[in-house]
Amino acid sequence: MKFIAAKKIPDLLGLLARDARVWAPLVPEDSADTLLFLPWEPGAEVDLERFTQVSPKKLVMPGSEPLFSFSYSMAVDCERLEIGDARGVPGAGGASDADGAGEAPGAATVLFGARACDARSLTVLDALFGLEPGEAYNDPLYRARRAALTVVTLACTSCDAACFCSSWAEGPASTEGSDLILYPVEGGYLARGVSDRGEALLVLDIWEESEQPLPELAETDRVPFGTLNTKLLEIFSDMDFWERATERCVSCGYCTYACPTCYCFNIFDEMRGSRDGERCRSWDACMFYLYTLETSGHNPRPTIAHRYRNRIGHKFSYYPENQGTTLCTGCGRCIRGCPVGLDIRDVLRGAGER
Amino acid sequence: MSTIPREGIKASEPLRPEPATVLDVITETPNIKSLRLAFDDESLMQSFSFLQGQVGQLSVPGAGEATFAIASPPSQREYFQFSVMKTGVVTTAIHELRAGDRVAVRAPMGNTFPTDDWKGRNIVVIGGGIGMAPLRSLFMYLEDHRDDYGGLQLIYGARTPKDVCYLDDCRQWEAGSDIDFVTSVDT
Amino acid sequence: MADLVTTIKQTLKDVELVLGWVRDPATGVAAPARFHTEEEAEAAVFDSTCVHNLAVHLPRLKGRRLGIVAKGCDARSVVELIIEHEAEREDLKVIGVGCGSILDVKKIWRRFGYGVEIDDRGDSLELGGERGPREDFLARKCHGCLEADPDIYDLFVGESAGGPAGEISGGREEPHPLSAMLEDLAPAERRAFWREQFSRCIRCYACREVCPMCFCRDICIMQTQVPHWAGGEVNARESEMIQHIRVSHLAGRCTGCGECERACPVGIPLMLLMDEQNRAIEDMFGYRAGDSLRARPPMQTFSIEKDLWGDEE
Ligand SMILES: Cc1cc2nc3c(=O)[nH]c(=O)nc-3n(C[C@H](O)[C@H](O)[C@H](O)COP(=O)(O)OP(=O)(O)OC[C@H]3O[C@@H](n4cnc5c(N)ncnc54)[C@H](O)[C@@H]3O)c2cc1C
Ligand code: SF4
Ligand code: SF4
Ligand code: SF4
Ligand code: SF4
Ligand code: SF4
Repeated sequence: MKFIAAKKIPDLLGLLARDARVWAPLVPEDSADTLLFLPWEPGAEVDLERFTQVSPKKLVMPGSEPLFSFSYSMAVDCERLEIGDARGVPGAGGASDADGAGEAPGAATVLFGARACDARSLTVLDALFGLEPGEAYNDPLYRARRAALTVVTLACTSCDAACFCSSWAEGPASTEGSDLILYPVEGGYLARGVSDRGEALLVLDIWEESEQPLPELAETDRVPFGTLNTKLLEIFSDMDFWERATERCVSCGYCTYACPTCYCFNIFDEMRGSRDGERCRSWDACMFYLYTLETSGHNPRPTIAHRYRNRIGHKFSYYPENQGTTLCTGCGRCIRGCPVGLDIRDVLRGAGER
Repeated sequence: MSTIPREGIKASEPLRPEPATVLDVITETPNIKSLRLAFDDESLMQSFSFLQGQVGQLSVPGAGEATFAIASPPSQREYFQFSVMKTGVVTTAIHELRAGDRVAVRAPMGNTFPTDDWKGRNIVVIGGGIGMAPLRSLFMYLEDHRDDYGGLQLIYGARTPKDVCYLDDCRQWEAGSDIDFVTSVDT
Repeated sequence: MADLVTTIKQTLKDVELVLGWVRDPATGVAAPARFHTEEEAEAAVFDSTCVHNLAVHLPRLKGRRLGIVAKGCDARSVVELIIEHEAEREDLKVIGVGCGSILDVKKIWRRFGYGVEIDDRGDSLELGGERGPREDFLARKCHGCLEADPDIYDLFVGESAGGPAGEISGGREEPHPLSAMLEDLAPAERRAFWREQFSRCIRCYACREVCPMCFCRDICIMQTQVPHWAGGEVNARESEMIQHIRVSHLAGRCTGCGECERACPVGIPLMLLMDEQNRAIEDMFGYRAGDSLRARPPMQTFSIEKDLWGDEE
């Protein structure tokens, strides 16, 4: 099997960075206790031990992005209207890229050091956004980024108390969404290609051969899903349960924004002067009051309990019903980072026992 | 989903709306206006088709984009109509538009009524207020295919007499001999 | 914790619910809880992992009779909320707890893994078997602790600290670890520093949601589309802008509880901004938010004669 010594990882990253932008788990300057997927540059030291606080989903769905530009003025003349090319359509040019990913959609990108849960989350999102034109919700920007993404996954030989990916069939051994998988072993990593794109990387002139066996992978906590999907529908109106279960929640956007599978967005116009503007979309989250506030002033999810119920219901009941897969891969980020220590598993188990 | 037509939207650019021109503005009630629109791209307008009950997204660039039912029937090929109640930012901007002004539209979207399953049966359509918009499209579709259905009844309610939308249509429905039209107001 | 449990039970005879902490069995650290019945109160704990400022819940529960377990710093928020009429003194039973400084649990988890066993020996700390100086993992706000005993309370549990927690814990009143570095930077470099920091912001608004004083919340202008004060994009420019809005809205109101920085998932040193402003407010007006129920917050007090024309005729 192919092998790479730990000390040669920077060389591998260097090779990958020749043809693509490489994103890897890095410690931001002046913030030693933070680990995020950030653009890798020569000299930057990747951390392949700890877990990142925010998922790499922005590589396929940036925090915000312009969709197209326009020129129009209600105040002056409503007869003049120009609508710029759609962004993300190959060859269309379109508005400039300001999405924080730093590259136009469709630019070759390598995600290095994703975990199995992160890689698998991409396939969970594919079910919604579609990989082929006209498929599912047909999002060309997502598709362009997804097609240009190579995922080098880091297999988990250890986990922490927040991980629960073993709740799904393959757990840390899942290869879904990965192109190449690195397995930590004595002195370095064994490499296994999962897709053609991954196999192609194994041709690079950096790998050694090794006889070492594949390591044993981590075994995480398991949430028994069973018939939870229907159970959640049954207890939909059980507000007593939802209120008690979410008492400590403060209704921020961390759990949804950090989550690799949450995909909600808002579309709005930003003016750049009096005539010119851009239509943008940004992440949005069902934990926010404004997410469901209707124009009449009515809000169907007025309290935190209503909103958290939607978060759970969408992930573990409605999405499985509509797309055939849970909208969660057990990465544990929402548990590790929740400012008030609300553990989604407690709510799921509580619902199961209700 | 593949059964729902999307002829107004280019598969490659589903998020970008197409420019359209306001042909006519009808003041329906103190807070509802109907806009009749046509895509600027003539070939697009010719191929544009939708099913009764589908919606569109109407943009006033700078203000934003909002969802409205297409209130005209699929058989109406000259224009498509949105009926808009003034409530917030986008709808207020829409209410300021006049004939000749330009906007942008993404349509059609969303679902339709299972009108094929209803064939041969008596149909009662019940609607109220601005909720009448998609039902206008539906009812006109049923009228267009009058022979396929049994009795047609339309029950339409509004808060007060001045909130009744589509007065011209109402008069015609009232006068029509083969449909049963009932209106009611709350106060 | 017999004392705390008994006190909560006693308080429950008089109020609808008590805000406090329970131990999360999965991690062994404290998590916020609401006690509605005496039976539930059995699970109440207080220890050095009780980092959260429970006063954040008061505005949403306004109008109900409540009990709240409060450390010295939390009580400052309670005071400020009462001054701003977001909580009524008569509706509240404050259960003060003697605090001997608390731990930065997030920092511990991020270094040693979520759920690592934390054994706080009082003078040293054992983390997953490794022993280290406790001071390294003290919540930063405890280094600048003003008063470990709550200023207002109806009942008190535990040992009185008799001063700032920093003194008992061996910590020191010290500025933010980054502030000296920042002082040395030229203005342009400082701007670059903040741009870099805010480029990580994901606009999750956790900083706002955990802040007891950011009680506009659902209608906060950092987020509303109507009115469209702040742009909706997620980028360094907008994030810096909205944080400046937040900071300035907290002028003379921030009690320095450190919750925003603690909650920020991407490690932006938000307390650098708050500290700086709090210092300026103290220099200018001699006011520290949360000091006293009788104090008059400078940004909410305006007397024409004095403020506009000065004292002299
Ligand atoms: C499938 C579907 C079909 C629909 N069909 C129709 C239809 O056929 N006809 C129709 O009329 N409507 C229809 N609607 C409703 C329509 O989409 C909304 O009325 C519209 O989106 C409102 O947009 P807005 O920008 O005007 O409101 P917004 O400005 O987006 O309002 C957003 C929020 O801001 C608040 N707000 C708005 N303006 C102000 C202000 N000036 N000051 C303070 N707060 C304010 C509102 O309370 C609201 O909560 C439909 C909706 C759906 C989902
Ligand atoms: S569960 Fe935690 S992270 Fe999620 S909204 Fe509530 S407080 Fe925020
Ligand atoms: S819901 Fe939580 S555990 Fe599941 S994928 Fe999202 S962040 Fe990870
Ligand atoms: S859980 Fe909420 S934010 Fe996440 S995808 Fe579902 S609706 Fe959107
Ligand atoms: S930032 Fe300002 S508007 Fe927003 S919640 Fe805080 S105080 Fe209110
Ligand atoms: S908590 Fe941090 S990441 Fe979230 S909005 Fe505040 S500054 Fe940004």
